[in-house]
Amino acid sequence: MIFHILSTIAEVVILVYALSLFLVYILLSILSGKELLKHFYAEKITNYDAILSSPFAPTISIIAPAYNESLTIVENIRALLSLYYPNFEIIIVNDGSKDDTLQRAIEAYEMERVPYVIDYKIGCKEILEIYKSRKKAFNNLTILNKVNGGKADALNAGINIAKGQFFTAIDVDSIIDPYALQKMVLPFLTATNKRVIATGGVIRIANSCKIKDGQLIEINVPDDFLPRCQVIEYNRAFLLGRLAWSRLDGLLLISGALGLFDKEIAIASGGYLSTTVGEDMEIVVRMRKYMANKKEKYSVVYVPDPLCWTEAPSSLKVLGSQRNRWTRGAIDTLFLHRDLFFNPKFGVMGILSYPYWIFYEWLAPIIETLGILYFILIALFGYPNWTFFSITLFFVYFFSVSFSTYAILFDHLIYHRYTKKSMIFKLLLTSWLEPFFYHPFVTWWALRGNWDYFIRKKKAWGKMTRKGFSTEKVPAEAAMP
Amino acid sequence: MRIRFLTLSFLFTVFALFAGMANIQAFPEKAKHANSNTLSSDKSFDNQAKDSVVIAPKSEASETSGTLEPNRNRGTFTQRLFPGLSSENLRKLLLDWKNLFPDPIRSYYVAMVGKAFFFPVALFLMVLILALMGNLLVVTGILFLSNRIMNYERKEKVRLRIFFEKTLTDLMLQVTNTQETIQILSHPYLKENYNLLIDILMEFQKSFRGDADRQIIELYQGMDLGQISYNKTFAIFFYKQIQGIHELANMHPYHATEMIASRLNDPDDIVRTESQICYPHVNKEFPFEFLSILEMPFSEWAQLNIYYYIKIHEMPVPSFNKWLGSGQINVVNFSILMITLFQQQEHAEQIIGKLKVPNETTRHLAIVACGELHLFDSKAVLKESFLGETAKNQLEITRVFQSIGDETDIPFLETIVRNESIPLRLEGCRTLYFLGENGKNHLERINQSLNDILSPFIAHIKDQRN
Repeated sequence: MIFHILSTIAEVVILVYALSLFLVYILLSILSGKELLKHFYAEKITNYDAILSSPFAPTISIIAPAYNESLTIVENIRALLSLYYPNFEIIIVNDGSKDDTLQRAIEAYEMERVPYVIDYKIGCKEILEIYKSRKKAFNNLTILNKVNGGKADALNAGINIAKGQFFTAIDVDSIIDPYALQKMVLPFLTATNKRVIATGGVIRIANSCKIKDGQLIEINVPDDFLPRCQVIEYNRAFLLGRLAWSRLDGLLLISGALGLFDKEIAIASGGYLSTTVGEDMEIVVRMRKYMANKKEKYSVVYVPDPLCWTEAPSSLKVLGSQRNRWTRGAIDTLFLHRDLFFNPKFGVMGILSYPYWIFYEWLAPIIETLGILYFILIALFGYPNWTFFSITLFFVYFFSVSFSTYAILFDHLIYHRYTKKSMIFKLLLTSWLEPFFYHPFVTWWALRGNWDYFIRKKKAWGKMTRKGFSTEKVPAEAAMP
Repeated sequence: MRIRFLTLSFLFTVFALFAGMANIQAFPEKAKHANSNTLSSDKSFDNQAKDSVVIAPKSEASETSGTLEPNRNRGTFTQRLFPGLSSENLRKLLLDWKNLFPDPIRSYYVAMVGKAFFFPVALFLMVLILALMGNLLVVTGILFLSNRIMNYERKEKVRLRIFFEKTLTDLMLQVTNTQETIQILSHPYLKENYNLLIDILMEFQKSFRGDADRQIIELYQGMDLGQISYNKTFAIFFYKQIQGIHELANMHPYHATEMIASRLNDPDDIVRTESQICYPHVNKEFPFEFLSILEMPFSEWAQLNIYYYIKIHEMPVPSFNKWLGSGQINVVNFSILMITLFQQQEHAEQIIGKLKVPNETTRHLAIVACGELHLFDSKAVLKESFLGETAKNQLEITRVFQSIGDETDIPFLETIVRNESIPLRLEGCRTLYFLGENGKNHLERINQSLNDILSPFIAHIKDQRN
């Protein structure tokens, strides 16, 4: 009898959860689709030339933390120097690299140490040296050498010496679209009745793409299965998820690979939190809370343009480590800001976004696993209704594939980056296989993340080994402590 | 706290309702066990299915079946879902589709259809599955078809662009005249691509001046392309409207003046901004007159674009002091910026007056203007307001003294240098250092009196790269 009651409760919870999840996804997709079309058409009429020659263009500081990037640092800086924007500086933060990252950058760009007074507006590990170039052509380049403290700490150090009105936090090994700054600064300039405090752009997977001198010259669908699954996953997340949250004014996460922030607000809210591995989400939440507490109208805007290309992990081990960290980062932020939970004081963020993250991002893999375990249990006792099970399974599968297919369609109609039939076919095939061969791993890594966070109290980043963009597949370690 | 409690209560109520409904709809199997008296347990599964398919009024069993009683009425669910279609017909229809499936799956499909009619949720899910499968097929088809069309269009667009550009270049170089060009471009196939032609005409117009510019406008008007642009301004989609406004503003200002003026205060942000940007195109004589009638916000983006337009067209600009009293704070700020950029020093008095307004951004722009316009008369006001200013404006005031300061300001700058704020101290040192020999000497004396605490600051500002 007790088992019967418990099983009924479990089934109801899982069913209601699954139904609500589907409903949320459908609503988010509809909102995203509408927003994407609006953006697509607005882009057609936007004259970016005006910003390139304007004294009105706000100053932007690009902050790129680098740790053991010796093999790619010179190329990466070159790519950053070629961005199309009239008024920007580049700050490379050497976060105590153990290799010759600093030396290579100094030699390549003729840098020399300059006397510099640092105003530690935000706490960070000691800044040892500041370098500027002897060449006028590189007068917007600064290299900062500091004691190792992790990515968040490196970004804080960069903010402390940044001169721009806005700063953009990037991963130095990502490829930034030359037009990225113009596009990301636009929402700050068009807003009239509220203050835009941060913008983020779409991150794309660059595996198998051709890169030359830090510029993307040919776009391809990744050859390996794992990165290809991540293409689908990123499409879903960026085109069907974040865009809708931006529209609802409830965006909580701007990817660490590329985000533009209002420096004044970032400093006032305390900068990046160096004790978390989810610093990218945490700073957005804290900046939003700061504005909400001040009762000022604000927004965090998402620009649905592929502005940053990054190398996705292609081995299970590295991918697992990345997802484990993402999970721990999200939990950390959610727990640090638990006062947001259904708190109307924080508007959409408190009532919708935060509960969404709790129920559908953090708890999803846990509930999914519980559902599977429960099913195994009733299967062992010969209790399940196999017909209902198979129909439900088919439904969930087709819903999931439909969702992915729509993400591919949205991406295709708006950006038309994958032009060959074979590319579309590969993506479609991946979307059909992904629920069986990729999703279980993602769920497992998320569970491991929970375990590591709550039981092992793990706080480290973990190893993030990349193959490198060049065809020779040079190993380049990008590990942050 | 109370509101949060209410929100939670509401959520739980919705949750409970939803859960209750789900229980009724989704667990007929348990309902069967829980109410074994309502349904003979020795009936075969298929027989049960048949029984339950009947869209019947309340059965005898259902009248006695307690809380899970709605389970027995589930037959009406189908009716509610597909009004006018009986569930028996639907079942037959679904069973007829069995031939669509290969042999190994067919029997499973038939069994599933049979059982689905016992479980309305399952039936509903099956219909959804079929819909999703159909949808997938359609979307996949759209993907491949659209890819083909987009690739074709891309190539065609390149081909047409080359053709249009060549034709227009011939006109510019007087290989052909306007009439001949109109004739060439009047080909029925090309008519379908006049939107592209208008884009190219606008690009040409941006690059050419004088006779060439006039020829392009002549061609646009001669081909009656203005009508296409005009029609766009009434399109449903905002971007089409704006395209139309842009085209008319650039190619046929006379036609567009009234329309643009009427949209300067449009509630739609994008339409309003683009109308504001286009206004100087259609009213070249008084390009900024619209500032007087602005009631809605004037975005920085619109300001930036207007400045770009008047810069590249080297248009004469009016005195901006007339808008310094505007009720729109964006208009006031824009006017101060314009006064600064166009060095309208004659408005010094009004600018100095803006140093005391409540809006921080306006004060900031006024401080910058004092420096850029070398308004020496502003020094007293700047010094007086220094202590009450925000940190950002204090820093700007210190910077401004690099342009308007002299030796008489050394005591004021000394107080800044002795300030504990690092940015202020740094900027104070810079200003003193670049004030001439006396400034440098004074800075050195302060440094000695402070036990060389300023040495790193002086080293910092001496390096021009910092």
